[in-house]
This record gives sequence, C-alpha cells and structure tokens, in this order.
Amino acid sequence: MPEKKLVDLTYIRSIAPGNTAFQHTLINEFLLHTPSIIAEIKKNSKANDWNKMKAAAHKLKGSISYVGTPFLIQSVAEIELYCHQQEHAHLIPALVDQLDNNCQKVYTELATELKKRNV
Amino acid sequence: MKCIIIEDDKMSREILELFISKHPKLQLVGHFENPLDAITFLKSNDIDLIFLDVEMPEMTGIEFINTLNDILPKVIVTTSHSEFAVEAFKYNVSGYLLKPIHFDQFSLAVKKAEKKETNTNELEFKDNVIFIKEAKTITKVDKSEIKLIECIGDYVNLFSKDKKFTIHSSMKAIEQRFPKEKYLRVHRSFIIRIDAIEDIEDDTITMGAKLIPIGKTYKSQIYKRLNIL
Repeated sequence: MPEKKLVDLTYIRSIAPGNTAFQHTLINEFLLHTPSIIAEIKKNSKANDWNKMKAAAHKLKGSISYVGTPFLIQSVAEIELYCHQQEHAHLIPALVDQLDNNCQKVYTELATELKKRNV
Repeated sequence: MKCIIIEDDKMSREILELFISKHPKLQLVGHFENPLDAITFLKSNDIDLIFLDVEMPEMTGIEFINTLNDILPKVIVTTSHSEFAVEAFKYNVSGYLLKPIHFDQFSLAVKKAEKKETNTNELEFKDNVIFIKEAKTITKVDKSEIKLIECIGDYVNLFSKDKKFTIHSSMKAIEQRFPKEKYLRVHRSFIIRIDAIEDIEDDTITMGAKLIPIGKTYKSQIYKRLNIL
C-alpha cells in the first residue's frame, strides 16, 4: 500500500498551471528558507524570547500553506498561541521538535518530487 | 495601475509578482521586504496600489497605514490571519486577501480597488489648475480658488469664492489630490484651504459666511499645523 503523502501541491499547481519553472522555484524557496526559520524558532525557544519566537513561527504560516501541509500549520499556530499567552512554556520545546521532525519528512518528500520532475 | 508589494516572505512575494504579471492592468514598480524602505520610496514616487502584508517584524501593516495616512494610495492587505481584516478595514483599505491567495480572489480585489480609483477621475490636475467635470461640462479652475471641500455621502462639493462644484467621489480620494501643505482635513466631512481661515472660536472655523466644525480626532493635528503664537 503506497504511503500517504504529507504535502499537497494542488495550490502551487493551480496558481501556475503548466508553469513548472515557477512551481519548482516555490518548492526550492521552501526547502531553502524553512530550515533557517526552524533554527530561529529553536534558538529563541532556548532563550525564552517569546516575541522573537512568535515572529519566527509566524513567518512559516504563509509558506507552509503553499505546500499544502495543514498538520504543520497546527503546530505553528500552537507555538504562536503559547508565545502570545506567554504560558505553557514547558510544552513549546516538544512542539518545536515535532515541527522540526515533520518538516524533515516534508523536505524529503519535496526533494523526491523535484527529483521525479528531473529538477 | 502602478503597484508595489510590501511583504517580508519571499514565497508570498513571488506569488504576488506572478499574479501582477498576469494581470493586464497592473504594473509592478517595486517590491519591499521592509516597510520602512517602502515609505521612503512612496514619498518620491506616484503609486496607485499597494499589496501590503499586515504582519512584518519592523512595522505592522496598520502602523504603516497610519504613518502614510496623507499620501497613502489604495491598499490591498494580505494576511494569514482573518482577524486582521476587520482591523484593516477601519483604515479604509480597498480589500484584503487571505493567504494562500488564489488568482480569482486577487483579480476581484484589484477590480474593487480600480473602481475606487476610477471614481476619482473627475478631477485632472495640471500644475496649478484643476479640471472639474460635472455632468457634461468640464470647468477649468485655479486650484487656489478652492477654499472648502465638503463631503456628503458619495458626493463631494468643492467651493470656490462664488461657485460650488459637485462631483461623485470620496473625501479620501479628493484629499490625496490637494497639496497637504495648503489644505487641511478638519473634520471627516470637511477639508479647508489654510489661508482661507478667518478665525477659530470654540473649535469652529469661520470662513466667510460658513462655520466649519473641527472634528475631535483632527483637533490636535490642526492646532499643531496652524503655527499659533
């Protein structure tokens, strides 16, 4: 039985039908910038800097919606909420790790997708 | 319509750039990651429309709108948070787009902004002269002759010393077309030419036979501008 896909590229395809170069650019942007934003969230989580952590998490909201990964949006929204409330600090490291792990799986899937397309 | 993008997320910016390139009536003249750079640009460039991300680290979209109130072109707000839309509409934005944005939603928002733009075309300015179109007549008027501008619903009255012109437009659109160093918004329904003020008593301005009330929200800004001894 084939493994269920984590990403859904329907949005990217729908905004640029047939324009594979643009679709690849967006996917590459996601692969290029998301790891550094995750690193920023981790750094600010360790420093207990709520505002910077919230701002970094927010930066992900647009990009993760473009690659069709609603389960990532849920983690990001929870991190943003806890930072905003400045409560439940003990839950944040686990949420950030979960986000990071899921993002690693998404990177692999997107990289495979690009390879399949011979990019 | 000349437009710019103010957006700190590269993917979002690239999507907007793609949509603008596909739209026959839009011309992209700049994109900015930082709203502060956009402010500098807007002070010396004539722009019709801004696509503005509401949440940016240096300055929020709402702070940006407040900063540029006098020279702000049409604004379409882009956001990942639907709750920001309610806040944005308090600032008379033309529309808002919730990410991920689809081209049909984008086109609709542009059409709406364009409609607002068209309504202001009754006025064409050439140096110190304005051409005011009322029904089938276009009248040339020296800009300095307009002493008072009054908004009534969807119409605006422009008063010279002995004439009144009525056009279909919004106060905001008209305000942008008069030099702010010579004209002052004193009330949500009134703009006056500063040198036509005769006196001010109890927050009421006398201009010939007309008494113009000063709106509460404009009061402090007006007294600051008047260089009172």
